[in-house]
Amino acid sequence: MVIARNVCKTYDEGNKVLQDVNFIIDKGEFVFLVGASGAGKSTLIKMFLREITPTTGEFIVNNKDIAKIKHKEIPFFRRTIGVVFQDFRLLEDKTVKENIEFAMIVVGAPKSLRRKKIPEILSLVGLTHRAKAYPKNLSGGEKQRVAIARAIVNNPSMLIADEPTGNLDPETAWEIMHLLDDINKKGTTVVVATHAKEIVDTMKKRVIAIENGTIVRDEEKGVYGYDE
Amino acid sequence: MMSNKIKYYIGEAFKSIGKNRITSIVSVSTAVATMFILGLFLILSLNVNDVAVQVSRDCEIQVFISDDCDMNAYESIGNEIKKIQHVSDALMYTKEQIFEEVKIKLGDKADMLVGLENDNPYRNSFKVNLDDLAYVNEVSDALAKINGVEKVSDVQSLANTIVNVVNAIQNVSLWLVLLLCIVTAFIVSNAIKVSVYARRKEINIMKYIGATDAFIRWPFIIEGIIIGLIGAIISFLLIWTLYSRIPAQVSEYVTFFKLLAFENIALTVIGTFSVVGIVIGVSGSIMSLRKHLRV
Repeated sequence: MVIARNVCKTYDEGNKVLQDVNFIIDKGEFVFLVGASGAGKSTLIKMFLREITPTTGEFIVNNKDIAKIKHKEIPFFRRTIGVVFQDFRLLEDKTVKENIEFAMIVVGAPKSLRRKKIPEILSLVGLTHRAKAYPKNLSGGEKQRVAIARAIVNNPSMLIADEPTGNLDPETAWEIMHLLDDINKKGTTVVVATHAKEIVDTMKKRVIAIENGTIVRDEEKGVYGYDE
Repeated sequence: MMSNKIKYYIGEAFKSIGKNRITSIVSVSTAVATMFILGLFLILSLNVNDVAVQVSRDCEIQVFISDDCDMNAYESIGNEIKKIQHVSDALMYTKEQIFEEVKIKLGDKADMLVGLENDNPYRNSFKVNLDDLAYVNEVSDALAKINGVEKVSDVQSLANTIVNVVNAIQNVSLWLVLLLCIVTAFIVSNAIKVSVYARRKEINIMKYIGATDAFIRWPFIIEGIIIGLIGAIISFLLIWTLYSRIPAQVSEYVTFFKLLAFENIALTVIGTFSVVGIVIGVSGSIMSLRKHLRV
C-alpha cells in the first residue's frame, strides 16, 4: 500500500518538481502513472524506491514513511519492491539465469531456494528455453522479461516499472504489459509509468496523471488523455 | 548462507582482478615497490636496533670509589648502584684486579709496576651496565651523587651519539614507510576505482534490488586485500633473495658487528608486509567506494 500525503519535492536549486501530491494505492492495484516528460513521474518513481525523500509531506510505502527509513534499512525496504527500467539494466556478462539468480544472491537466498525458484520464474516469463543465453543475444522483449523476472524473483509486494515498453515495438510492448497484468493478478501491486497511449487506453486500469508536479487526474478505468 | 556469500565475494574479487588485468598488475607492482623499500628500511631498522643492543651491552660506565671507603662501604655502594633505575648490572672491579690486568697487558714491560704492589695507584671501582642507553645521563648523575663515589667515567657523549643515530634511523624509516603506505593506498584505491567504475552498472542494480552496502563493498575489499597480499609475497621473496646474499659479504668487511640472519627476521618482515598489504588494500577499497554507495 502506498499513501502520498501533501507531498512536495524541491531540489536544492529551488526547482519545484512535485507540489501537493496526494493519492492512495491499495494492495493488489494496477496503476498507470502518465504525464509528459518532466511532469514529475520519474521523481515519484525515485520516491517509491526511497532514492529521494519528500521535502514536505509524507510518502508511505508498505507502512513505512520513506523519510524515516535509516540509510542501513534502505536495502531491506527495497527488497519489498521490484523495479523494472526502460533500459533493462541487465548484467551483460551474466546469462539470463545468472541475472535472475544474482537478485537472489544479493538478498542471501540459499542455493536450494534458488534452484527451486529460478525455473518457476523462467517459466512464468516464458524464458525457460533462453536460460543460458547472454543479454546481447536477446531481443528487447526478452531482455525486459529477464528484467521483470529479476524484479519479482524475491516476491516483492509491489512492482514499479519505469517506461517498461519505451524501447520495444508495439507487439512486444503488449506482451510485456500482459505479463505485468498476470503478475498483478497473482496479487502483486503494479505501478507503471508510461507514455504508451494505446496500452493505457485499452487496458482500462487506474490512471494517475501528473502535470507540472501536480496530480491533475486520478481515474479508475482511466485513459491516457494526451495526444502522442 | 554465510559461506555462499563468502564464496561469492571471493569469486567476484578474482573475476574483477582478471577483468582489469592491467590496472591490477600496476597496483601489485606499486605495492611490491613500496613494500620492497619498506622492507629495506625495516631490515635496516632491525639491524640498527640489534647493533644498538650489542653496543649497549658493551658500553659500560666505570664508577671509581674513594680510597677512604673500606670493603663494607664498597659493597654497600654496589647495592645502591643496583637500585638505580635502568642499571642492569654493577660488577665490582677491585684495585687489585685492575693491577693484575694491567700487569698482564704490559707483558714484558710489567717490571714498570715493581714496587707498586703495596702502594697500588688504582682505585676500587664498579663496571655499570644499562638496560637502555638512552638513560645514560640520568644514571651517570645518580651515580655521581652516591656517597663515596669519586668519579664517573664519561661515556655520555658516545652513548648519546648511538641513541641519536638509532632514533634518527628509526624516525626516518617510520615516516618514509608511512608515506609509502599512503602513496600505495592511493594507487591501489585507483585500481579499485577502475574496477568500481567498470562495475558501476552492477553496483547500481545491486542497490535497487536491495543489496546492503557491506554486500557491495566486500568483493572490492577482498580485491584490495588480494592485491596487497600478492604485493607482500613478491616483495618478501625479493627481500629474502637480496638479504640472504648480503650478510656473508658484509661480514668480510665489517667485523665489529654481525648482521641478523634472515631466519631471525623473516617472521617480522612477512608479518609486517602482510599487515601493511591488507591495510593498504582495505583502505584503498574503502576510499574508492564511498561515492558509489550513495544511491
